[in-house]
Amino acid sequence: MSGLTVENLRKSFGDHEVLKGVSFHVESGKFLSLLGPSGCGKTTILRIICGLETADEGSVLVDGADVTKIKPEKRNIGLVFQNYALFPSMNVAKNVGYGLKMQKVPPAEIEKRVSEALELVKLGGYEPRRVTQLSGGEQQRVALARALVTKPNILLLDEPLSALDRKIRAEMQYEIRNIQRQVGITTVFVTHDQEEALTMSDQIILLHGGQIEQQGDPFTIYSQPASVFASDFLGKANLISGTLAQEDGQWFISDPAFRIPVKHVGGREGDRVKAAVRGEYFEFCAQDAPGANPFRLEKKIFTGLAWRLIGRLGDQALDISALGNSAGTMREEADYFVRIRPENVVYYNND
Amino acid sequence: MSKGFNRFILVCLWIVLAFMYIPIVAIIGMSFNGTAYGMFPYVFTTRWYTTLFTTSNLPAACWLSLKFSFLVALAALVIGTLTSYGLQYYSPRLAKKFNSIMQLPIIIPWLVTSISILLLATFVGMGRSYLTMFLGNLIVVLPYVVLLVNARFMEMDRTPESAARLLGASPARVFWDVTLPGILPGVMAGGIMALIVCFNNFVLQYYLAPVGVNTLPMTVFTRIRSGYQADLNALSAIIVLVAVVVVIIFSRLGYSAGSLFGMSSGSKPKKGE
Repeated sequence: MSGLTVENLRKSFGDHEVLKGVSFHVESGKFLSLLGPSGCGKTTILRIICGLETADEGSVLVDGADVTKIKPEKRNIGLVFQNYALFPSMNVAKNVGYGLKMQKVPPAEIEKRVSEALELVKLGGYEPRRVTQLSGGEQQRVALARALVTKPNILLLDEPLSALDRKIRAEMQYEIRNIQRQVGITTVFVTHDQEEALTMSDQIILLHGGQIEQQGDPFTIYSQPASVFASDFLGKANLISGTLAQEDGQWFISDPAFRIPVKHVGGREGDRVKAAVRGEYFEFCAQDAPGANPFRLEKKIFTGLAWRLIGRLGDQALDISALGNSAGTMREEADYFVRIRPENVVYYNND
Repeated sequence: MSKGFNRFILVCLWIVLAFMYIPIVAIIGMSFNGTAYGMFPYVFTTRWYTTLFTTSNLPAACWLSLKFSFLVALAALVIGTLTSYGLQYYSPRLAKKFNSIMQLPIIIPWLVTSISILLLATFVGMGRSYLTMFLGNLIVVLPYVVLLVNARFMEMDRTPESAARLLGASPARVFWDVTLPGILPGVMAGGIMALIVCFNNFVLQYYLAPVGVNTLPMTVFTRIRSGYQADLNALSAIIVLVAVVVVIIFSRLGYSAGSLFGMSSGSKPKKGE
């Protein structure tokens, strides 16, 4: 089986169980993000994959071969650290060429491959510079070139963008993904930033408390969060409580003040459930439109891309986002009507 | 703060500086004074320098002290660096305990250390010897190296070492290529500190040196008791000159004596991009 496979990883630090049996597989050449809040074990998984940490249980397979017992220097796995971890005593060329030197590649070839790697990260001609004089973004690129130049089987990225400012971060997101596609290397990316994970990944694994909470492509993860935690962590969905009800084959989550249509995925009539709905899936409509529910607008905030409309659905808080031009004329402390499509609602049993 | 107060503080600074440096300037002046015992009238002469390099017994003692201190410092540097490197693998709690134990030889008065070493050496049959003196001085200077290298480890980023490992370097290779360059300022500072402390250490050498062997501090001690001669001033002036040259070289290389020992220079440099 090509690609990276992780089987049933368990790890404890003292009494604290950091990983409670994590398994996943990344297809060769794909980009996987491990997403989760700090302390969810995502960095520990990365350190186990490259061998800097030893798992208590479980195994790591690269292209079908078990590497669990192999020393880190023999694994041929590239890692880009959060703080870049460049060698301060060496210049850019020495940093990038270090891995090749360890592989006993002839100096002339090292020079050639280093300059190719620097071209790849758009730092051509930076060879003689001191790494301490580079900006954060440039250091990040050097770290990326250094990890890629040895042609590793797997590339691991440990929150590589978190130390960069917003604008450079967006640039680097694009760039990293671009380079990854160009090289075609299997990549595992660790981040706590949901936007970053959504933008960059083929596949996302959402981790919570040392376990996999949900796994899927970015669109599924975003639109069909599998749990209350998932819906909250990925861009804060609205959580609406109500009772499950059925009428003419259509299921609803109902409350004295509103009725939201859902696709039935389980549960019986009368069950108390929580529905997760993204703010941008609500649609304003007329009072007599089918499926209209009253919405009281209490406050509107302009955020640039969209208006954030904070209000109430019955007595429950609701946060709707509407694109720039559509909500400009709406007034605070006024009543409106909203509706939503059943495929945009997911619900969970209320326990 | 008022202007008057600022001026007062400045005057204090100059008084402190004068207190520190007048004796040093004075001894340089006296090394060129022809009247004995540093008395007046001041008659300029280079006689003491001539004496120093012809009939004096000081250069030989100084040379012995230098060779000896260099050997002790070199041993302390290697052993101390490896000790500190090893300490990093312990849990912070254990490492802290070891650190306190390591510092003891600095705090215990040298008098006590030297007498106890002499007792031990006599007990095992070594008595006073070059080896006893070497081991005694080594014990006293080792903590300086360990402490200064520890300080470097504390402030140093250790992730490049992991990075090197993943790029295919064996642990020994990582130490040589990445760790050592990182701690080098601490190692150098520790070595210099060890050299200075050992060069100065009268007490240990007085008790442990083999009979008939006189290091510089011992020779000076005897000379002051048996009749002071101003060639000692000449030697002092030369030592001061060497120290000044060393400090200048270091600051040219981008170190201040303080930064070398992991201390700040007192005023903050402006932070540039």
